[in-house]
Amino acid sequence: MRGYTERTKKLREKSVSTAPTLSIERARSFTASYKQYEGSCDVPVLRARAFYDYMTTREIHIEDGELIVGEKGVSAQCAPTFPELCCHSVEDMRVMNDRELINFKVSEDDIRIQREEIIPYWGMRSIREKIMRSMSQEWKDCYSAGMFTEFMEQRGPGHTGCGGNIYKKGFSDFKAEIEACLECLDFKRDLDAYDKRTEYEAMKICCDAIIKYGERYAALAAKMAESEQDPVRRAELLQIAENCRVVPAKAPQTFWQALQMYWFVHIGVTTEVNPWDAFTPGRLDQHLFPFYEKDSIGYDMARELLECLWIKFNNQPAPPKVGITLKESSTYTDFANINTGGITESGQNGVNAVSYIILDVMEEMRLLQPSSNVQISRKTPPRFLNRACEISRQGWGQPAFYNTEAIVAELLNAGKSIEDARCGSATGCVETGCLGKESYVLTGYFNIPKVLAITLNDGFDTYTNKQLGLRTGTEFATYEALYDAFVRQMHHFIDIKIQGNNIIEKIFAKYMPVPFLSIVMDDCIKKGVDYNAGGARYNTNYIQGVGIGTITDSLSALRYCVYDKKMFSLSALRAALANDFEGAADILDAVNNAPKYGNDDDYADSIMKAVFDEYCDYITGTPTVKGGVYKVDMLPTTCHVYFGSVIGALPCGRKAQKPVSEGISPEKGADRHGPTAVINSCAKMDHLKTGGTLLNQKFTPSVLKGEEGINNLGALIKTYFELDGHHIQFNVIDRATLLDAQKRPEEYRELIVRVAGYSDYFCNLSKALQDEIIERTEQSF
Amino acid sequence: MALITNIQRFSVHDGPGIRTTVFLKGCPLHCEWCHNPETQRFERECGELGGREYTAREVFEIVKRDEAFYINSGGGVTFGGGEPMAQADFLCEALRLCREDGLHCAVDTSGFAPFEDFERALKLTDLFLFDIKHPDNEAHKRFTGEGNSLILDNLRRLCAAGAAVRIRVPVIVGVNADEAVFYDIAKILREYRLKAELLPYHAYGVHKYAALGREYKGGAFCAPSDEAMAHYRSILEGLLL
Repeated sequence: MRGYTERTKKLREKSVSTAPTLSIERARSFTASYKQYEGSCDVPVLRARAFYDYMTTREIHIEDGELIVGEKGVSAQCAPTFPELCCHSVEDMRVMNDRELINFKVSEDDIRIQREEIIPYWGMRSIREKIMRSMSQEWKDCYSAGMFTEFMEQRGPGHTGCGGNIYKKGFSDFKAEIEACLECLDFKRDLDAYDKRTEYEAMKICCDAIIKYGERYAALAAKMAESEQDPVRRAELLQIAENCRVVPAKAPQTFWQALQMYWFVHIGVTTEVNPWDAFTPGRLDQHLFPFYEKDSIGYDMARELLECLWIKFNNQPAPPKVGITLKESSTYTDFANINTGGITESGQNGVNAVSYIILDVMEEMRLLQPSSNVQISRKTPPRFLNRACEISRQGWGQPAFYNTEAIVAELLNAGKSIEDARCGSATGCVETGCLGKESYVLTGYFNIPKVLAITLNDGFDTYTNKQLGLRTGTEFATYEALYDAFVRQMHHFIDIKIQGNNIIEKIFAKYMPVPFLSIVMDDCIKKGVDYNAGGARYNTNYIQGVGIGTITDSLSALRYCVYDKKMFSLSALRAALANDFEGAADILDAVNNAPKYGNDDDYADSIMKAVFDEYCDYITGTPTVKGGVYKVDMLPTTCHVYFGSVIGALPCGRKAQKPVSEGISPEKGADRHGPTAVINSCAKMDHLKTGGTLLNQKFTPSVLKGEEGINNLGALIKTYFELDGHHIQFNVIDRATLLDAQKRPEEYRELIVRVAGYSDYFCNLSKALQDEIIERTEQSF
Repeated sequence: MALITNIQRFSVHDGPGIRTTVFLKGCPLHCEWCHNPETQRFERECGELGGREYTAREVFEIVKRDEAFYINSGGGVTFGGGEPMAQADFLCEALRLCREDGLHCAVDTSGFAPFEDFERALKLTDLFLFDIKHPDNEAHKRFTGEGNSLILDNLRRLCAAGAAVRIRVPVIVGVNADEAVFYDIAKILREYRLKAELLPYHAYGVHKYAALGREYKGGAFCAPSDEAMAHYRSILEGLLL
């Protein structure tokens, strides 16, 4: 059993062995509050009251041995639902109860409540329904054809993390600030004063809600202490009670209280709505270090408390989705990503004593959640990098490595101040943001290879049999003419995606304000504007490009075989694609031998650069509803499997329905010259223009053996980062192990692999995704 | 120009750090266990492994692409084969281009070449990876087609000239996996104050013989046990005298 102490061993075991369940408590409470208040107050206040009712009446629980208290659901592995965002049908609940993987047990009683109380109220009221009613036919067609996905259709805007303010202020301090702002409202000159007052009222109610929630825990712990026989546990319960009398009302005074403070905020943010990627303490080592020094609690106690926090994260499965997304969804992971290392606000090396404890904790805990990563800067001590490499080499996908200098440059490029940029991090999968100061919303994935499939068919989508694109013709005299048509089609689909986003953002601003999150996000209080309406200091929307390897190899094969070498005509290739290369072995052979991305070959890599620049430059700078701008990320999560399933054969030789390439990694098996060539190819992309890119590398253990192996792994990372690479992660597992795990999943329950920006249990992945991971080029020789 | 069968980037077992290994085609020895049979003959052969001609500058330009990785890992370029010393003119030209550019250069050699060639390469080489396949002349001749006197003589002269040398010993049951052999090798190491790395036999190359339409004569050879390897290592490290 893993755990530094008996306590964390037990808590961890409980966390990993408890079957996830669904809790209807939140849905019931919110429904009752909405019924009571709707129409009698403005939406922010309505949301705040619903939150207050829930936090002050919900069942609370302290697990035996726990040092940090609070859960999203009733207890560990219990997920609440959010019917105001998307309302589960009875069928959805049966699916999540019955299916073999990623299930949530739902009681018959809860299904009855869902049918009788929840569905009748939320059926037409949920955000998802509002969105679907508002979208154009064009958008709906593209959405169902898999041109892009839409993040906000089931969850709230998220991908943000906590900054440092909650370690310096309590919620009574925040409340005082809000009251001061309320008093200063000028209803003569400020024409938005009414909206601001409403938002402030809502924020104040949320302050009360979280303070009450803490008080309830203080009371529960004190009560439990009374009847506790074990004097050691009694003392702990009394300390928990004391902690909860300090936080969240006041600023934390100790290391322990700092962790409890964060955790209360985490519970608040993730039960107010269901934001993407939950929430994260972000630069935890920076925030905790002052407490660690002041407290002098020492390594052992700090480590045990951190392990308790890690287990808390793992106790929260991502709330289940609805409809087809539920069926396709294949993870409990909620993408809370903790950054360790990096640099400080003033630009010094950020690695401190807590950073090393966190490395020990992540190694010991080996949990899916939180996702742990390290930021490596030029100033990072070699000892820290080596220690991180040592853990990464064990082959379960953590920590991932991020380039601090790239993050800072990306944030500066997006207009942030240098101090805010230095406190930035990569959260969710790989997305950069200014923690506690930015709303950086991932809006959905964009299927770049599918644009080419449609271009080759004059704008027609053979998957849905609809004319989705522009009519740009079928014959192209030159490669440049073909490429130009591809670019026009890409612009067309990006426009459709953004038009949809603009509507969705308005819907969230209007109907789904988050006054609790707004309290802790600078500068929502100062502006009197909700986080979902542009209150954060910075506002950025992202569209995540998927399949750069596949599109590059496809265009490269077209250019090389059809236009440069004139091996066969475009129509011959089109016919071969239509037949999935059946009976066209010579064409398949030719395209397979065309130059490929990932080999440090400028022929292919220059095409990658052109496509990336086109995609990035077209999107970047487009204004958003919240007053920010659009930017791009290059990451897939697991979407490359879905996107592949909606595309026929492609000119690179990829067969119909097969996954497209993931992240910025080369197409599977296309890279033949090892990781240095892959890194050189990937580095030709201008990462600093993005908000994050994702590169996966898989090694067999022999390559990384011994001290030399650590040295070489560190050198790969450092070199990639010198070349401005944003992120790199490693799987160190041999093929035989994975094949065996597929055959005998019962023996490999604990096997974690890096999927794409996050880690998951191998046995919980679909067969297609497992195959994909097995096929991903093994860097060995 | 030289025939090259492979330029392998991210080599991590042919010298320190991350390296690029250049495999020159052609070898004067005929080791029965050879796992790179495509590098044995000097002439071009059919198929993917058959070799391609490169100029020294072309080789240098490929090698140079990973320079940043060499700097961060303490790596560089390794010329192997085949026997790189068998094409000393080309080797020296390629070494010179790499050295003048500041890259760390290693030469992976069987030691079987005229010393005059070593003398030329010596000034351009940071590290020789030098094989001792068998300390006994007769056994050496039986398994590789040539005796070892030239090889051991070259080793002596290289060391005398101050070259950096790291000994490599393939450990093969049926050829040299024998305590006595390693006591002999240990003597040589002590005499020249050298360190050795032991490379256990593997059969990864066997399928290549079929691809080249050749017969593999090493079917009877096999890899030593981990315990045997540890034992030989302690002999070489002077722990068991």
